[in-house]
Amino acid sequence: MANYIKSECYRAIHTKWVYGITALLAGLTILFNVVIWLLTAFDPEFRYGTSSYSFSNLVAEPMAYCIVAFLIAAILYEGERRNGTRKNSISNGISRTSLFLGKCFVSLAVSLAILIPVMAAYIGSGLLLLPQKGPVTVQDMLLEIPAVSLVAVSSLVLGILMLEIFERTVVGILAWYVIMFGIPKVLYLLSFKLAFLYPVALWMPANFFNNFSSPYMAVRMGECSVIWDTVPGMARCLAAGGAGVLLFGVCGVCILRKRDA
Amino acid sequence: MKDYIIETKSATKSYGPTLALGQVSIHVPRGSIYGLIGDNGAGKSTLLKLLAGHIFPTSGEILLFGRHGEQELQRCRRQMGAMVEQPGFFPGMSTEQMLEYCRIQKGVPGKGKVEETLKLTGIWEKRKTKCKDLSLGQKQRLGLAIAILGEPQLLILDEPINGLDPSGILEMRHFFHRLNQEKNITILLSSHILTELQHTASTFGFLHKGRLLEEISSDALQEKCTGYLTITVNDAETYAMLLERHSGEDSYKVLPDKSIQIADPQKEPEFYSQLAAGHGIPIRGLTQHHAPLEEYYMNLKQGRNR
Repeated sequence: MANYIKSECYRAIHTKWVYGITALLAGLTILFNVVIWLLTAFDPEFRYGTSSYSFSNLVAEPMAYCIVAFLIAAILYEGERRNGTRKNSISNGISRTSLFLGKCFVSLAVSLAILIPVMAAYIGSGLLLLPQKGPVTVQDMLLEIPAVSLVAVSSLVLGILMLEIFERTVVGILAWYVIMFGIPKVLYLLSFKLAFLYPVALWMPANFFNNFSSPYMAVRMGECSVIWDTVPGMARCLAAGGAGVLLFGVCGVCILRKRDA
Repeated sequence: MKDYIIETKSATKSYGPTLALGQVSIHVPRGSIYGLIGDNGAGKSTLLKLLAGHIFPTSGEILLFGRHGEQELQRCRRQMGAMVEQPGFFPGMSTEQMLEYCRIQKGVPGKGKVEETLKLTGIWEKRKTKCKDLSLGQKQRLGLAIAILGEPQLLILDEPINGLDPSGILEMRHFFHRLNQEKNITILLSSHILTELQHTASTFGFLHKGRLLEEISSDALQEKCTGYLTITVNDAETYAMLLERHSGEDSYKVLPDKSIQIADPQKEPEFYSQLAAGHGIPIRGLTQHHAPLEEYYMNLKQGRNR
């Protein structure tokens, strides 16, 4: 597996889109803050001209990390079947389990490599350009990362699994979306009629991170209450994420172990 | 006991109700070039995919280097190179990067191996070209380069000369012989260009509709492919009478150019030349024609060669 991971890291380093997507995301965050700064410069009464408003966009949407993590995994591996590169790896004597775990590891490493400069650009430009006023602080942004980390990893593992199971990429993406967002939403809506489902629904990241459905999240102009502010809240994030990683990881190993390429 | 580098024992693969490969038992001797022959859909690629580990057998057993069991097979595949169906590569990578990627994955030491392999397969000039921009023949060469990287003991190649021009085919034939003779690499290859296999392989396996019809060495095949004998003499009519009287040959025909063609001759060529000489008939030419592999395979399919 070590050789497979090394070769995939070599590929990632020599792939232009990794640099492109990093530059794009970092550029967009800087542009976003520049636009707010310009609007504030032209209109001193502009109420959104604060770092709090800028940061609140990400703090209120922790599932954005999951989407980005999945997208990176999808871009890395969606063409594998079409290109026939997985067959090369299997012919080289790499087991399917090693391939699956290796992909998870490499996707995670690439995601982190992209995340660090993007977050630095986002926070740095926000702090440099915008007045630090309002309830959402850098601390909320920074604490969000460990809180969402395992959930994002589980999203990535699920994404790789779905792309492996379904031959068509679009079906894999849909399946990932249904599991990550569709089922939690359905459970949440059903819980209005079946009250016993409510606690179950609140263990699902798409619900407990949601600004509207979660009792733990309230990120608005005047307040910032997030689930990771409290120890039980942070524990819920990590436990749900950890369970997801374990569940999807075990499913991946079991399903893909004896699967024809 | 013969040393087989590949052995399958009643290997069967079915996809739902469709049987792709049924009870196939092949034996690839170590150090040989084994030619797998079959029509489209005969099961060649399925068999090669089984050996390369791309798919799992529904039943039966596969042995590589005398070992079996999934984990052992995975270990053995590290000493193997394979190109089954289309060669696999990342379209945006250059050929050099692609091979470097494979070198790291295979754990082959020494960066110089990439250059050496690209030169060996004749695509060194294309090292900076993106894989997606290569021609079909160049892609085949890249696939071959990936397969032979790290000097495996066993090569599995599915239609390796597809897309190559005539000089490329000739070059590949020499290349396979060199790998086999100089580096002692056992090669299992399939091709629908049977004459090419006839020139290359030392053992043949004939597949038809997912079943193995026959395994045969090239020497034994040569003997079986007796074909016909053409004798050109000055007095064809007299010689024809002699033939009937002395050899009992009845499956001959006299051609318009006064030469005589004996189908499936019963005796050695020397007999026919001595027969003419003994009766004072000068011989202008005597040629033995072997039946082409295609003909042998067609007969085998129809159950005529057994």
